[in-house]
Amino acid sequence: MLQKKVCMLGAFAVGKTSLVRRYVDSIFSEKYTTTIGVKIDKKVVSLGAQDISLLLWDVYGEDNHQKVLPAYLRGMAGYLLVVDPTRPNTYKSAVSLNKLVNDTLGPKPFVLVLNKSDLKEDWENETVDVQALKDEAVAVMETSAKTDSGVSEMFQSMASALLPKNSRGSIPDE
Amino acid sequence: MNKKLPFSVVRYVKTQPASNRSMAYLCLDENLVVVDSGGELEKCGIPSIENGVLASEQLPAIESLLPIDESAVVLVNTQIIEGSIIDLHLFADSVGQWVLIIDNTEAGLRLQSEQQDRLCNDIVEEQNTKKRRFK
Ligand SMILES: Nc1nc2c(ncn2[C@@H]2O[C@H](COP(=O)(O)OP(=O)(O)O)[C@@H](O)[C@H]2O)c(=O)[nH]1
Ligand SMILES: [Mg+2]
Repeated sequence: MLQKKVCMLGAFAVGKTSLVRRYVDSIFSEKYTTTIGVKIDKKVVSLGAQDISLLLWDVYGEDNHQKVLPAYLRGMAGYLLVVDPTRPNTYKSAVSLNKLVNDTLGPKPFVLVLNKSDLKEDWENETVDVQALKDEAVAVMETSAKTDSGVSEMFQSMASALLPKNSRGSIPDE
Repeated sequence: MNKKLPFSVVRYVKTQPASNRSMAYLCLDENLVVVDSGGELEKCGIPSIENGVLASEQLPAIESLLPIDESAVVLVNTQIIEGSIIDLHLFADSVGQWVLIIDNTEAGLRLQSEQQDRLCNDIVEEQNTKKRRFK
């Protein structure tokens, strides 16, 4: 089976770990437990006739004190760039992490993920220009790890961008 | 399984800061099939490894990381098996592709709890700033 490495990238506490837990284990916790280093999970995604196995690299979140180590990106096929629009500063991290990827590996397909859509009334406008990010992304998706809204669609959208071009079909709606 | 560490591993370890952490290794051929493994695999949380089988079938996480031809790559604090935190060292020499696993669970858990305190403070700080802005 086709197997691809996908990194979860974004500022701390935007919901990277929660999205993986929701998708792989179908659970959600309000409690915040930070990720150190990287935690790797595997999940098979079915895209119509084709199955693809994603190795999900949940990389610790960038914060004021530490940057993501480029070594964690080695061999990555694509990434989920996660922001928490209730904290507009997290757009800034997304822009800098995107630059890190481009500087380290060159361009790779990514989905821009706006998480915590259950808190949409608290979403704020971005403080940096993210139009370029939105244009480069294979998709911009709203998710909630809490309510499970958009989560599997988001991973499927990533997976289908990683299929060889000739076998790419439309994303099944479950 | 070998208990004694191969020369390639011993030579590499000498270039690293000394430590008494548990250590295990996998040696892969050019097709990334395991040809040898040993050391304290169990203490590093690694299930038993079979020779003659693709490394990525036994440890999917290392799939995309190899082969390596340039200088060594180190992935610190990697969690590929629940409950165990390891440093993953990848290097190559004339013998083959080497995956050296060094347990870091103890220091990793300590780091985790320090980071937890720090980031929880940062979140409170962020929220306070936000509240002040809305006043
Ligand atoms: N309301 C809400 N909270 C979320 C959502 N996703 C994550 N969280 C919470 O946000 C905090 C940080 O989540 P986590 O997944 O650890 O973030 P990470 O640092 O990016 O891995 C935790 O308290 C989660 O419960 C979401 O979709 N909605
Ligand atoms: Mg996390």
